[in-house]
Amino acid sequence: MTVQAAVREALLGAVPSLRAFAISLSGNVDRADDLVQETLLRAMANIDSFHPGSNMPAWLFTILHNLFRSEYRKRRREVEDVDGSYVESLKSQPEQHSRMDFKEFRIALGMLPPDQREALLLVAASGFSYEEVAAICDCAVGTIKSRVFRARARLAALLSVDNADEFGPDHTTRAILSAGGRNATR
Amino acid sequence: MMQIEARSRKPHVRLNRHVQSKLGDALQAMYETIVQEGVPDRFAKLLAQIDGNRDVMAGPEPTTKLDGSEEPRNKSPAPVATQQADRPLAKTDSLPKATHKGPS
Repeated sequence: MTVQAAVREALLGAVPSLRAFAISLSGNVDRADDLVQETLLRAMANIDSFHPGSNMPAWLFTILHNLFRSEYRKRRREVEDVDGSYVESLKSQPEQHSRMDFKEFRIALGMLPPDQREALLLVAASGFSYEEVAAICDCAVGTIKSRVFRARARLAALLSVDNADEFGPDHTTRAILSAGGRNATR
Repeated sequence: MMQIEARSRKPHVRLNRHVQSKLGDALQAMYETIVQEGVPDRFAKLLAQIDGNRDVMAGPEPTTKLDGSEEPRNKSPAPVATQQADRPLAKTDSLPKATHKGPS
């Protein structure tokens, strides 16, 4: 295999996990896929700055994190209802059946401030360590731990999780949808 | 039964390990539904274009995983059955070195 083929393999291999993060973070498949595409483009353009043998997933996620942050700020400057649009996207998108099972969960996720949502996803779903997440998000480990804790606490409260409850497709979403899905204050 | 309350008044939900692990399970299961979608065509095509060759990914639904493809990705000298114009391999088994960069 050529070196270029190895790069392409590595980047393609990272796509599913990048998409999982981007879709869960942004709440919008199209926007997420655009971000992933941009991430791949940037990665290829900057491949010389990637240190061979180092953590390529973390490097790619750092690029994606930066892109998401820039795009988020830009959209907020344009006075778009960025936070509310997360839930609106979920409501309006044609859902694949499997994703419907998590609709309520994903709506609750969308109610978190983006920094908390991102930290939680990276730690609890993407499988990075706190140190790796701190590097990806360019902040202190303590900050990440705090965000993850608060994200978990808020999710648990939103979903009224106690020891007996399960997440599943048989829960009503009416309460969430009527609440309008507006993001709480940071 | 669970409901979501936009302004939750349940400060006493305990964030114990059980709750934490349930949240983690749900997050990971949610991820899994997306991961199972594999690699949409647009990404395979994108990378093929950037690479500067006219490689066409074989198969209707490319679902390339990092190390789950059919062909071994190792130091084997056996020719890999791809359609791309291979260049001689400078380094055999590692991710890209900084010295080599194709046309962009």
